[in-house]
Amino acid sequence: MDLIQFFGRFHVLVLHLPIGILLMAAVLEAHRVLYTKPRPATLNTIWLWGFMSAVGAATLGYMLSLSGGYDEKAIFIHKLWGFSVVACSLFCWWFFNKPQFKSKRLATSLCSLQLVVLFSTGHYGANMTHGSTFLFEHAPNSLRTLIGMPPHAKERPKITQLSQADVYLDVIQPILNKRCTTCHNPEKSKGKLDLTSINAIFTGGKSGPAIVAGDLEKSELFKRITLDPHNKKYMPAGGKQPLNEYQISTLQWWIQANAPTQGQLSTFNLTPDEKKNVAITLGLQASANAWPLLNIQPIDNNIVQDLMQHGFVVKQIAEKNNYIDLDYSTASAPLSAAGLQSLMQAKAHIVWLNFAGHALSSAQYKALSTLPNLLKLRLDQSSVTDEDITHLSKLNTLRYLNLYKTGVSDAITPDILKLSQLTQIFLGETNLSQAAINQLNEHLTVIALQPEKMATTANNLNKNINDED
Amino acid sequence: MTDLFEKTLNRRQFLSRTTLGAGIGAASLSGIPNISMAKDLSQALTPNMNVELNGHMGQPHLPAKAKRVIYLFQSGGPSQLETFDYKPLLNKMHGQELPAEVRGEQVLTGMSAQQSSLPLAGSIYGFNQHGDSGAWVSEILPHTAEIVDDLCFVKSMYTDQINHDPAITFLQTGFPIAGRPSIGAWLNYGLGTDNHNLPPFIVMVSTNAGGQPLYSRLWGNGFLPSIHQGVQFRGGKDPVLYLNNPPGVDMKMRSKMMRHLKSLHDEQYAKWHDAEIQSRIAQYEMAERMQASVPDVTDFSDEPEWVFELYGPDSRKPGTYAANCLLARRLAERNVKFTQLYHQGWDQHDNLPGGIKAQCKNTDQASAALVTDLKQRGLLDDTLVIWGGEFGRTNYSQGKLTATNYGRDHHPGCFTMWMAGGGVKAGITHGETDEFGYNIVKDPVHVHDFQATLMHLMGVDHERLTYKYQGRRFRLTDVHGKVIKQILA
Ligand code: HEC
Repeated sequence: MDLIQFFGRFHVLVLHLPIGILLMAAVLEAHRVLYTKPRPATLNTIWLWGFMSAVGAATLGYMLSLSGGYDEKAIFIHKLWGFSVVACSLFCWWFFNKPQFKSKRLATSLCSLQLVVLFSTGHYGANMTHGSTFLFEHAPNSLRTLIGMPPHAKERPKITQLSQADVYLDVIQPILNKRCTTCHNPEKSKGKLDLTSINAIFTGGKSGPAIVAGDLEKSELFKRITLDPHNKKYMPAGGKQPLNEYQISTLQWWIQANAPTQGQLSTFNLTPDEKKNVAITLGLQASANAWPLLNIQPIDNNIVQDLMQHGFVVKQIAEKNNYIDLDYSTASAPLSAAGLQSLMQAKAHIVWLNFAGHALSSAQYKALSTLPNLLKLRLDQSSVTDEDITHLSKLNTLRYLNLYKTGVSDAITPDILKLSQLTQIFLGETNLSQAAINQLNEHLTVIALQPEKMATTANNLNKNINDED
Repeated sequence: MTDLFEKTLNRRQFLSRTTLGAGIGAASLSGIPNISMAKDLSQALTPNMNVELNGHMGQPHLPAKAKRVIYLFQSGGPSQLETFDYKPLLNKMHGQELPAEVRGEQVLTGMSAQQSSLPLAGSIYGFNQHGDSGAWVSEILPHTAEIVDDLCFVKSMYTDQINHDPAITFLQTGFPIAGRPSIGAWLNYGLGTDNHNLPPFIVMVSTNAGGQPLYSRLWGNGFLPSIHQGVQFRGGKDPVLYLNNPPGVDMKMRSKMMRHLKSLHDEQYAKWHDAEIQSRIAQYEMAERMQASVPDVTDFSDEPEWVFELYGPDSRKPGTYAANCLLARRLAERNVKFTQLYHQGWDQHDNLPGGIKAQCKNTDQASAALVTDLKQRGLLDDTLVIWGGEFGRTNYSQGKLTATNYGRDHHPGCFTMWMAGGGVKAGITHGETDEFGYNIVKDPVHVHDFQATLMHLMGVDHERLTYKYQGRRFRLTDVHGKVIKQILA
């Protein structure tokens, strides 16, 4: 137990008192002098408190300096400024209490002096804790050269193509810079770990190298980022924003690929999935959950009115997303020629389209195949046929296709497989054979439960219960 | 105008009229009633979208994962310990006292606080793991067990309320005291409707159950215009009465009458500027459209045999939970935004083993059938199905614990809900309770978090859908609540 060190650490707490109180005293005093207002009696008390708290902070600061660990020269400068704060505030308290001193200029100079010594003390003190470059770390280059700091390191040109990215400089280091280096850099290396350069990473910290090429289990860094977030050892520490799944997968790929330190990505063998993770990490591809299309201009009001007149329910997808959701399923009349015409006018905007339960003509289905941005198409319980699907196989943005309870048959299989973006198809109660469904199932999610089977399963479960009773 | 004020308005009317005044100006410009309410929303309406259709938000805040909700409310507080939250330790410690350190500071209800002993009670029903996800489900829910890979279990729900009415009110309206709008009303207010011919918010209460009472204010509009309140379908053969015109009145005569009534209402509105008159007009018009749309949706004669087998024999008896589930699917097919079912009778303070088994028997098959059926039709993709009650039940027995019988008291500290479809991950379990099934040890989900997540799935930022009333902006999640990101697909 070291009492001096114990009290000394309270310096960082108490030092805020003189800063606040003396700032208040100096500003109020200057204000009343400049505007020749009567001097409130409390001002005296404020100066006195400011002085006393400065004495307190200085004493504790002195105790803290005894525990060592700081640069001697830096301490000397800070101490000097600190004692001037104490001296200056004592003088101010005494001086302003004397009504005979009437010089406006002297009074304002004194207040200014107090502020200058106060802030200088604070500044040199902060430099000791945060490092001397802290304040101007993110300053513009012009300002940095002015105060004699080197300009920022040149940023690497923005990556526009995955293959050109440098595996370390463009992929790995930026991840660490974004989430880790505030705590792991040469000046402030928590856990004795510096993550700002490849050499430092291999050197590692307290527990050895942060990365062991080719070995995830031995790589302390990877272990730390994949712990349960509640674990004390989880990184980034301190509740800082965690790495997302794509960044983690990218680091994982890098370590497993023997942690290469240079080389363009094109020289490495990445699986499509790994490529996707890196692309998302680099911001070259939207994440899986993001909206898959670029936004477009809002739709013309007249087209919307027109669509509504023809029985469509028209909904904008979201406030910053100008695509529309078009629903004809609740309309009672068949789609008219004019209705289709207005739909075609909204062509580029339609992403979700619902014709469930309707009987369109072949020409109308064919027209739908020209929608350039369609993501989701509901034709369940509609009159759609195998031939119509041939036309619709041109919908190369389509993600979801609902053909539940329609007359389609095995013949649609090749056409469905042409829909390169399709992830879900609904084929219950159609004429497709189990073989065709299995074939499709290899490429996408097919939902085609057999009604009788569902009913039988349910009945059997009930039988079991009743037997027990 | 000033003449009119002086002649016909007393002080109270003057105040109510002039506070509305600002909104009225805007309303007459755009032809949209109630646009004054939209001032609360940071996003102005797109001029080409109309309020009745697109709600006061005009469009969702973000692309919706779910376009509609079916909420299977299990009223009374189903025991999590006999259904989904498997706690073998309770069987091991059956009959022993609830350890004080487990109970902690938890307040008990007056019903069991007086008990001299709080003996732990293990579930009398066995549990098995099911599906690829390996979820534990009790043997009294065999049908739900079949679909666990489509479900997202939240085992760490907790609520602030320990008694039925405040707890249900809290879940449905975001506040334990009556007077706030129900979730369905908020969604209708914000997002409008997707089908002009049916109410966007429909409520059904099972007739094959009884128990703690339910009140229509649970699906009320609160301070929102009354047009947003839930419409209750009656259990029984005629879910909506008086759909047919009286003898001697044909459709033509009826619509002539409606038009005349509207002109009278319009006259009233021009004089009083009372938003409720607009609501009344809209309700009459909806009623007229429902004369055709309701028989269409409630007549099951077009359903094939296998559907009834899937939902179970009860589905042929109008008003039962099973029939209501089937009707909920038919409403989902017709784009009804929010369908709220209530099934009472889960309040097993005593005789829990027999009671809960009967409850499960009446609901298990149809709940599971609904999910399967929606999935088959491609509707589960954008329909959010929710199953759950207002709180959980204690791990100790209320009343006498015997080898075959026990009861459980209310327990707000943890309970289980499940969700399916509509943008939630399938085949996962979120959150965890301790071995005693008493406290939450991982990922607690407050009622407001659940509500925030529901709104998020519907494309609504729960912090931005607000309504100014009596000088304050209100929202469903009151003053807190965060979206549970981990369960979003
Ligand atoms: C808020 C500050 C902070 C951030 C941000 C942070 N760390 Fe740490 N890190 C620490 C502290 C403190 C320690 C030492 C305590 C410990 O070992 O847990 C540490 C230790 C480590 C260690 C162990 C060093 C050793 O050899 O014992 C690794 C590896 C590590 N961090 C990796 C990371 C990674 C990777 C990130 C970025 C995803 C990160 N840290 C972000 C504060 C941080």
